[in-house]
Amino acid sequence: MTTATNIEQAYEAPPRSEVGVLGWLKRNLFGSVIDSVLTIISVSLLVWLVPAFLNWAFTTANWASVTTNKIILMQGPYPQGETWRVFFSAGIVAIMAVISLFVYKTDNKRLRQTMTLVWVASPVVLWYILAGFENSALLPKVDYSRWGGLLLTFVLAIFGIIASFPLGVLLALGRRSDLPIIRWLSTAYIEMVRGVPLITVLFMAQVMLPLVLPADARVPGMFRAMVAMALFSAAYLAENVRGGLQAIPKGQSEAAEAIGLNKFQEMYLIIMPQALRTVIPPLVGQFIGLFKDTSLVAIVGLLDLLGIGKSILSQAGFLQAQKEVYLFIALIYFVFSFAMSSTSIRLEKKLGVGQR
Amino acid sequence: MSNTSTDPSVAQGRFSKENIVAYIIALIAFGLLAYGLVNLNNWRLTSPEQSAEARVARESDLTKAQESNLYERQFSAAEQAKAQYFRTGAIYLILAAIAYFISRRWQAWRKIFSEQMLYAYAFLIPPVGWILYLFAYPTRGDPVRKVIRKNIGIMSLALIAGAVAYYLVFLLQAYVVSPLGNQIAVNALLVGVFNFLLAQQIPQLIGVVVGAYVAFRTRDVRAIAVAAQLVVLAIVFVVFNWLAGNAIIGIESKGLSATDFTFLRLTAGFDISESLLDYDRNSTYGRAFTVGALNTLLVSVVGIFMATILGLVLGIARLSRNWLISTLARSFVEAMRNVPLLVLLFFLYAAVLLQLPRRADTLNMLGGRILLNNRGMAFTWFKATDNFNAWIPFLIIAVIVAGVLWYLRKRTIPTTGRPAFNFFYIVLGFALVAGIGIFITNPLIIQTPYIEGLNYAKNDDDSWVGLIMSPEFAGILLGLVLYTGAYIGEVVRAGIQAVSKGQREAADALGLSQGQSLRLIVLPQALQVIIPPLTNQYLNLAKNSSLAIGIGYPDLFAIATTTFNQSGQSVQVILMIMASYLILSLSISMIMNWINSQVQIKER
Repeated sequence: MTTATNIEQAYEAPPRSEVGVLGWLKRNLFGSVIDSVLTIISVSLLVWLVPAFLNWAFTTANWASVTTNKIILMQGPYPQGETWRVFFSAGIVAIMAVISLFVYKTDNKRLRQTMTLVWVASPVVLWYILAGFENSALLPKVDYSRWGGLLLTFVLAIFGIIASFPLGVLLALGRRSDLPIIRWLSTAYIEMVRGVPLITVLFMAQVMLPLVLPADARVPGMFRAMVAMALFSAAYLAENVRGGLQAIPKGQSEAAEAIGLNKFQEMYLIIMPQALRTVIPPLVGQFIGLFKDTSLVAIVGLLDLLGIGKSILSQAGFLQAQKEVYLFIALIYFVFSFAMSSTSIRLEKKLGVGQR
Repeated sequence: MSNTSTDPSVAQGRFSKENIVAYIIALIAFGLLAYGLVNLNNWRLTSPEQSAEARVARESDLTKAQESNLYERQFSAAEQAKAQYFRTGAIYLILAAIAYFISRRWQAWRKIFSEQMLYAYAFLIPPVGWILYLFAYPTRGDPVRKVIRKNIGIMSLALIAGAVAYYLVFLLQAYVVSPLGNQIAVNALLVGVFNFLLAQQIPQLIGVVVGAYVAFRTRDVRAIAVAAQLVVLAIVFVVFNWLAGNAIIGIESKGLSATDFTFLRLTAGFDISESLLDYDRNSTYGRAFTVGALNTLLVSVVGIFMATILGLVLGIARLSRNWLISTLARSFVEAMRNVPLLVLLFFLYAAVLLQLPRRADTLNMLGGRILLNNRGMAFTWFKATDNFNAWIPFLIIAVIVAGVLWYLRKRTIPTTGRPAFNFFYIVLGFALVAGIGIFITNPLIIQTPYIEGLNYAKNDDDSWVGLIMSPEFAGILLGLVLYTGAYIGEVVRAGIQAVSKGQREAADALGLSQGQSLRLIVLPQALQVIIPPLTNQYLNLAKNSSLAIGIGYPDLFAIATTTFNQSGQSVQVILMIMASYLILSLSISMIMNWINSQVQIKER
């Protein structure tokens, strides 16, 4: 004991320049000459830019362009009298999200399965709430050309990921198949879609889809965009899933064969659960990408969040409000994408993906 | 397929001459089989009557023709389909006879034919194929033969049922569905489905399904594999053919063609705001397309170059010990990565570049070397004089000198392990020769931009004084560079972090300086990790340049869209767009793969 105290006493207190605020400053901002110069330059830049921005945001900026159009930004040209349906749907999703926070923490397996089932069924229910029915007093039919704003953005993104999932998994399996024709077809599809920009696929869907279907079939623009997003996304998803499949050691499928599972059981019960688990992070990344990419439908004339923002700028009084409107739209995209990516990082750490 | 190798008779002379010849013949036969398939189904693509009909339709009332066309054609289609059915059947018969002859004659060939071709026949053209199979492969224990003999009754029934179903659908279509037209919403779908079923001839589809059933009943992996592939091929083909058939009807009813590229020689009639080639509204569509392709190439190449620099800076800044620098870099990267590129482009273009001061109040930076206004940006830049061509020989000599020096430098490496002299001397040699050339021939002059009249000044030869960037070009370039730069920054950071800490510590222990450790130890290893994802980012940048259409920069996609709107040539334009981007993507990945192969560790 005594020797220990002696040793402790033998230490001098660290110099004041190395601890506390001063120490932090020295270590993190003025570590070397170059560091100091860079710090000074960036501080002066910040001192110049931040007040200028704040000044603009609180005095000059015409935020009325956003506030008077907030409903339009959320739902586009969706009928004003039916606005409650959009918010009702958003409310349902929010309530479900809050409930799941608790449900997925419980040990009740039955409850958790029910919740998952509710999530799986929810897109269909929400779709009918939003689309409505022919001759219904409560939920009259809303034409698909009137879906817009953030609502359309979400519909496109969610449909895109749901529809591209089975197709992507099939393509991934096809690309790894032993059968040459199936492998060539899948590879050709994946590489061709990945080699061209999304906008060309959207354009093709707008131009070609009405052409390749029988003359009598009328496809609303929203559906055309949905098909394009799903077909495009599937190719990228296939590559992600293929990465996951490659990470599964061969012993797993050999073991599955050894216990007498057939090919389908082997895939469904052994390989896929492990493969999909390892590719959760890239899949979330892809979903964020898809969410951002929905903004491209503004170019082919749909009124998604960005498209509607562009049309606001042609309203009298808001002709010069580009900064305000585009910043607001950017902020909305940022909030959702950032929330998704940070949730995925947390999920990744919690599941310990990558450590296995 | 894994069973094939365990079959001793196949495994034996796998690469013998006979086998190879047999395989080639089998391949040709398969090609003919595919040809037969095409003929079976594409009556819409080839029949001369149909194009004559379309020509008549073009001349008469379009909408009326379109309506009557579809349904009347179903009747003539049924007749044609019958004729083609027999024609294709004859092709199969001949092929199968050859196969039979060969398989009886030579055992080795017979094995291959029995496995590959006859399975295919059996599965695709049931009645003919089955009977031929029974004759051509009379071994007692053959599993396919067994199944066919056992099931021939039920399979024939299925075929008859298919034929009956075909005519039922045909009658329903003609008398029930089509008269209703579009009165019921679901009916549009029904019409589509019925057209599909009729056009693709249900007996054929049922044949494929039954064939697959036969294959699966054999429980023979090889048979199942062949059948599964043929079924997939048939489905893909049938769907594609149906879509193409519809498209061709639609296009021809508008009086256009889907395969005619001669429109590229017509006058475009629209203006293009910026062009690297001589172009005016009297130029052709082909010329316009070339201009667009070059603009895309320009934005991509300059963008890739600048984004790489920005990415390097950001990646290193994110790893900086300086908290402020790394935080700023991280905030920038997060902002870029979580906002769509198109929003960024719209913001940069409409809220920044077009909001710059007007011409009268042009911003003047660095003493007039950079000018900014809402008509664009102007930079002081070089201009080639008339003597430029005289300089080229000097450049060539400079390259040769650099090459010789490179060779001399490398020559000592195999013996001594180190280069003969510093890399710097190569640069010096090049610069010296090129510099003497500049001194003698005076090939370039420096021009400072200024404003003249309504816009920036031009030289006598109609080129800009200095380097002028339109707001559109500046917008797409800046947007692509900032956006991709952020992603490249992450790639660079991950690459540097992937180099294990021990490497750097070992470098320190050896007494290398910080710069040496970065240049000799860390970066070469980081590059191996960086280049594959960097390639992806380059590809993304090239593909994202197509968003230029959003802010009005005339790139490949924008000009192709205008071409489509004016000429109506949808299929050709789309094919050209896709081919161009595929070529661009492939070129980038080829170059990057070559670079990648250079930086990877060479194991001997």
